[in-house]
Amino acid sequence: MKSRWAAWLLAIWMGVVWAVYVMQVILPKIQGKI
Amino acid sequence: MEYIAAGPQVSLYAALLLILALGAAVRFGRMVLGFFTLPVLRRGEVFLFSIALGLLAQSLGLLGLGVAGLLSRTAVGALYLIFFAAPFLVRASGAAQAVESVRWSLWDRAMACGLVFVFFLAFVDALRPSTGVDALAYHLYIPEEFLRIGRMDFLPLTRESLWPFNTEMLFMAGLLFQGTALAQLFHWIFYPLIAMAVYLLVRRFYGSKQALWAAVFFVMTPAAFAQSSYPYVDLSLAFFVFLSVYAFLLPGGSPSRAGDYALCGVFCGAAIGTKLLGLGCFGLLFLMAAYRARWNLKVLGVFAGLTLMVGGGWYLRSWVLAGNPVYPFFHSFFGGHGWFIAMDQNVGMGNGWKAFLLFPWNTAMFPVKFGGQMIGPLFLMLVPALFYPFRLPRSHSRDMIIFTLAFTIFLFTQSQHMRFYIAVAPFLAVGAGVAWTQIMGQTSLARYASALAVGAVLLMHTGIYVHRTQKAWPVVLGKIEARDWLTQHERSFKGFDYIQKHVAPDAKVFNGAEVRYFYAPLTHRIVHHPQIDVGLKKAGVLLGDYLKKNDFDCIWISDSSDPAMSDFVKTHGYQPVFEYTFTEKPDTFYNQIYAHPRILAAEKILNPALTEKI
Repeated sequence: MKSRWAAWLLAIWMGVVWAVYVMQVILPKIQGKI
Repeated sequence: MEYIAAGPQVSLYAALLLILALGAAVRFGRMVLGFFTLPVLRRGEVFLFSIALGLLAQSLGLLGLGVAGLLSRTAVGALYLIFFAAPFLVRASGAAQAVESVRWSLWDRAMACGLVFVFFLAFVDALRPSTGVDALAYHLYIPEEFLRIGRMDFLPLTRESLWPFNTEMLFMAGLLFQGTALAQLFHWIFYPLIAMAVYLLVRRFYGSKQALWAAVFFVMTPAAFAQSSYPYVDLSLAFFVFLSVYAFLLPGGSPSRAGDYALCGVFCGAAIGTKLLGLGCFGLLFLMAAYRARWNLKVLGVFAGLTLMVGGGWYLRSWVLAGNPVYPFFHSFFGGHGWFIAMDQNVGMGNGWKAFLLFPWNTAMFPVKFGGQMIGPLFLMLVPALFYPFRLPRSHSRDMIIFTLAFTIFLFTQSQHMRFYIAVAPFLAVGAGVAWTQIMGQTSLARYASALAVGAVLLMHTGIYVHRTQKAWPVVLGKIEARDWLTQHERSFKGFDYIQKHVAPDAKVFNGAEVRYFYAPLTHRIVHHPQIDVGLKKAGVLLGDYLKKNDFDCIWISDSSDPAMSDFVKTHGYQPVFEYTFTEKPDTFYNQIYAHPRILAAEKILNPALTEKI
């Protein structure tokens, strides 16, 4: 990958997806189990 | 209720029989593979294609026996003996092989061990007794019925008995020789087989580093893991769709020899013989083959001819027996044979192009809206990588992207059930594996941030897998009886168990509560309401009138049953004899079994003690 910016943008996107996924899917699942 | 068994001995026996069946598949498939003109294959590819062809041959052999009315242990056992013995008798030239050693780093080995661990978890989960709606409503129930009557007849009260059932044929062999554990293992095996196919394809076209990551991305898709322990057919469909594309890409370049499309045609036949959705794969690859071979009629004839020869039998059977090759769908097109089925009820988040564009996000973030199966966020995370200027090798990347996109659009127009998209997941895994390896190859610090996000998801999904498997361990290890386990974990079991133990076999029972018929005792005469519902509506008969005319001894209803049933039992003197609630998150079902006073008087409810509880 040539652009460092592009790499950082991708990393930020991945972080955002991860955070939303945890809040939207994983945490409700854990709370459901408790 | 003949198939209730679990425990260490059952597991060992089922695993042993699976190994024998797979051994037969590899032997026979390798012989068949020898008849194809193929480029030089790697050893793993020979094994993969052989096992695929062998399992396909077993399905078709069982179909033949079923249609001929020879569904006995002796006949099926003889069929398997032929699969073992035929390679001794027939000599095919044998596919050329190349052995290539791959050097795996310590990290690679650790990843491979992780994959084996996940397969083992799924294996254990597959050894528990069967549960699940579609599994018990038809994937296992219809083979059970075929075995009961000894042949594969049209079962007019069901909607599925004429569907393409290649994988269900393997389930039928499983039920015949062991039970549900072997049947479920026949679906589980497609989980590691797809991972292997993904690995081998990526290794052939991109490299071994990418290959391992691609396999990891597929295996860590929770929907694939969840499906692998149920006797469904989504993984087998995904396997044969993927192999169809694999075989399509295999010759490389722009082949125009008809022989180059033969293996692809056979695997497409396997896909359309597995599930009706396989027809989409066939249509797309037909168009792609036509474009690539410039509408060479010989190429298209061989490709489509082999597909229809291998998978068309199911459609012919349906056409002959019910006047509709895709019964009961498209009934208005096929002379009214069949009826309308709304497959997409309450599933998905819209049908327009906006919904399609948001589909990757929505499926990752709102799995409940798509049938509850989780695709996970990994593919979504790597979507932007599509726009990066990677230097990808030639035509096969383009072909795979076109197929994946077109097949996704096709599935989107049919249904938004997430488990159907497991057929797309191996292709997404290929893209993700290749993109991820490129990202990890860069020097920027950003890669550590990306690795952290992916690593965290892999860990969370492993946690989900371990958690999912937890409930299977006690019954697989024999600490809980299968019957007790099913009472706790299967909604339909308690009702059927009550009927078997406490209702006299000559009593007439009406099941107005359950679509999961697999555990219905074969000793009793049970009419299942969902099976006669369409017929009653077509004939314009009211449910209350039907119940009155048939004068059932027992009627089983739940709070999701047609209200006409509860009205009927209350106004015709039926008395509740058994009740139970069952929670399947997020729903709780309240079930009641009512008995007519005359069978209480005639003591046909065999255990009054239970009756007194109510």
